[in-house]
Amino acid sequence: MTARQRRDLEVIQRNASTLLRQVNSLLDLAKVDAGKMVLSYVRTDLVHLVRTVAAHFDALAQQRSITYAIDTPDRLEVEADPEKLERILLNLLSNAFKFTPDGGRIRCAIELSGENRAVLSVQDSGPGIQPELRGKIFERFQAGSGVSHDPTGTGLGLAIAKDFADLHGGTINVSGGPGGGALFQVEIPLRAPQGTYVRASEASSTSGEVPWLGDAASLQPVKYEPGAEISSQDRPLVLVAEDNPDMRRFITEVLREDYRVALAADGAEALAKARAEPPDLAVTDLMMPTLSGDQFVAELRAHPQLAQIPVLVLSARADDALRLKLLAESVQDYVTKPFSAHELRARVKNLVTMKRARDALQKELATQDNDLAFLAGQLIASRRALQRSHDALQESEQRWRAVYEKSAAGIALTDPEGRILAANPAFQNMLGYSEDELQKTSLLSITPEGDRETTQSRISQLVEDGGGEYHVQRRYLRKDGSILWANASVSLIPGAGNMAPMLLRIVEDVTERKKAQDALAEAQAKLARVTKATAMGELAASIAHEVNQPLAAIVANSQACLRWLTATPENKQEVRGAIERIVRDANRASKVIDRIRGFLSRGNLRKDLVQVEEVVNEVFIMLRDAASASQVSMRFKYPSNLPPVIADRVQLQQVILNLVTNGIEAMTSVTKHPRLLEVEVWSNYADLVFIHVRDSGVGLDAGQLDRVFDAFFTTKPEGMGMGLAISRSIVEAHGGRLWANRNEDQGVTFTLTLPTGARETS
Amino acid sequence: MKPAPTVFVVDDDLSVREALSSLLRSVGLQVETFASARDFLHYQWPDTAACLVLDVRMPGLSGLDLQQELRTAGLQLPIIFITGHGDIPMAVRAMKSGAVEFLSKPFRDQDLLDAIRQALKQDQAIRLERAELDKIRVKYGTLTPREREVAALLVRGALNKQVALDLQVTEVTIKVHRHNIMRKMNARSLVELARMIEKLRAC
Repeated sequence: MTARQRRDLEVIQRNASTLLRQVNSLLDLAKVDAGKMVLSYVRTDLVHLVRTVAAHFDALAQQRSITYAIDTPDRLEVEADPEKLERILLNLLSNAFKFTPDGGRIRCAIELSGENRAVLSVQDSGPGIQPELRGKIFERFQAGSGVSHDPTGTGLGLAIAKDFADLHGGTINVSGGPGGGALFQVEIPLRAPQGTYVRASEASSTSGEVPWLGDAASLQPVKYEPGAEISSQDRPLVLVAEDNPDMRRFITEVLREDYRVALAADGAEALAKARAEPPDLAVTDLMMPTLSGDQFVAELRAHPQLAQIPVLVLSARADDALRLKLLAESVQDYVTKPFSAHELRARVKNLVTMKRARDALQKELATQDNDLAFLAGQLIASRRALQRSHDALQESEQRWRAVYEKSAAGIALTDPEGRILAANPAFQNMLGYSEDELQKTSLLSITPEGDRETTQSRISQLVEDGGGEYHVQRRYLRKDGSILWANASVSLIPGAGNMAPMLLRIVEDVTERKKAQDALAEAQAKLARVTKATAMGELAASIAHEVNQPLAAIVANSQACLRWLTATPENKQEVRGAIERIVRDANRASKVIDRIRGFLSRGNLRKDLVQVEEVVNEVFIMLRDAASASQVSMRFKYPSNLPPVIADRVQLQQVILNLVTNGIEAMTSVTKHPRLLEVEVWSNYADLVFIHVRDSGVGLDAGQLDRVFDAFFTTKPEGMGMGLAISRSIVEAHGGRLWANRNEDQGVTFTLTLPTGARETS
Repeated sequence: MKPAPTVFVVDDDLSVREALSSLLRSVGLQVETFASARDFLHYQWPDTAACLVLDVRMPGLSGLDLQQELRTAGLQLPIIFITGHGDIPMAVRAMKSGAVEFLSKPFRDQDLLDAIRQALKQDQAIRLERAELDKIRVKYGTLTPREREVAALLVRGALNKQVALDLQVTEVTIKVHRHNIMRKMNARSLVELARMIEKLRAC
């Protein structure tokens, strides 16, 4: 038998005996509750009983170098239920041994109290029990509630001791022993109540055999191994919160092959670990010291970064109400102890796979508009991985199956001849066909007649090249004959072995958007004047605000100036200051007017083919001095063959100037890391050019991110709150988009898209 | 010498802050300026006559938010609102919440100075009231629990005899209490005593 097998066996044996003890305890308590627990009084020598029971611990005391003293008179006859007294003493001594460190002291004594009561006391040199907890430790299930700090206990031992003492008409209490530790004292009457039947003494009143003591190992002082974490960076991380060391070890054994496992002995520790590194799954016990499992889950859910983490609850408590509540509110799955390694493994795998698939899906959805190509790449990479190993195949299948089923984007596989091999639900919905129907038609029959030739040639090109992908905005024919406008990304999956090459087609429905765009364009054309008037109306408030600010200052300064002039004595310094401010504010007012005028004239949008990199370079030259004055380094990345965009060069320059200036200003208070402003331009070579303006500044919180494009919104003391609103209007007038994202490390990235000349001319 | 009244100016616009500061100093007022409502909330203002000139529209905490914060904190500081463009619903809200005046930028200096004068007068009245209340509270603090009981019954209009009956003591005892109460509270008549106790109850 290997060491590991031996240890596993020991764990099994220990758990079995713990379980047995817990079941017995629960049965006892149930009996007490039902009033069915009856004492069977026997005339007993208490001293003999105590010495017999206490002797069970002699070996343990010796093994752990504990000074173990039993102080009793020679003989003390009592009328009591010997079995119950044994249980009381056993529970007290077990606790004492559990909490007393090696080399400590334990004393067990019997004394007379007055004429007719006996006191049985057990004193240890363990950590003792805080005065405020002393009343609570006799309540049921206290082991798991931070009272006894005993992660292995059933939480029932002292409750039973108390119930049994009560049955005898006695009392039990705890205090601090002299010199630390805990002192438990049980006081019982020497005689049974009047009229009770008392059997004569029996030879073997004590059983001499104590079944639940077969696990001396569990009476070792409580330890757990906080550093026992098994790591290997790429595997999913599972956080296990479980106060029982054996259970922790078992779960680790089950999961370590496939996951990184982080261990926590209670909810608070688990929460701290989840914060430090958010896991892919949290597996938690319910009853734990410090912070219970349900509290831990509530904390997770309240934390925005952790709210999405799936949770699997393990508990011995077959509490249906709590299970339903947790499942309904916050927990993904629930396993009742005892459970098999197989069951745990299956459930964990399920949840982790779901989580990873959802992460992938969310990422995909977040960037759906422009990142279909990325998704396609991922899918192909996944397919290649499939071919490498059968195991990876299954896992990957499951993961991508979720993406495939749930994606809002349509996904279809065709062969090079255009036969549809598979189509996901989104694709079916877009076109109004079922998958069966689609498999009987071909790509050409869902392509409008006029577009068939170009489609065919694009596919042929792809097959001829033996790889690659293309992205187009194209039309599809729905089953009902209507037209679907979509962005399609098509990639070739190269053949392998006996598998023919396939085409992966990811389709995003842009019909509504296209319709809205067309309607908007039409409305804009027809109602140009009205639109302009409305814009003017919206602007009136802005003009009033922006111009009134310096104007108010000018008026107040002038009035102050007059007063200072007429004061005696005349205060020339104040007069001078006021006049200087008047000049400054008047200039500011005129700049506001200029900017607003620029905004209003956007109706006369010139449309030229413009090279974005030239415009960015001009802006960099303009702002070089400002940037170096603010100790900001500027970097510009762009590919050599950037297609031109269709734009009004001056307005585009205004937008980029504005974004770069904002970026520089956002970094003026940054001291902890380099101030870096980066502009990156790239194109999908189909229809769009992307311009990212990234700063390492103070950043924006989520609320600000929503509002930055609102007129008047500003985070700068001197800002107008108009720059981004105007920028967005300009970009949208160009048929592009402008948005902002927080960077992962620091600062914000503004991204704008502009249509390339390619789309206009094709 | 009594310190000059102070005007606090809260406006996010530097030009406006500088201009108002100069204007108000030119008529001999003390001025403290703040770039945001937050800055003002963190400022420990001295115990002098004061009022607040407050911009409505500011990033972060707006002027109306600040007004609300001050009210919640129980701070009675008269407020004059200034705004870049007159927004009627906002003005109504501000005035309803007890603002002294609501001025649209640009405003005439005289309008602002008049409003400030009125606000300082209001502040003065608040201060006097508060000082008087403090005095009453101190005097009331010197009464024994029994005297407070007696005073409460007396101001409700009870006669010495009734009070004595209520409290199960002799009428002479009540007379002694009554004398001591009037002396300690420095009240010349029962009506004056009633007025003082009414004020204590109102706050």
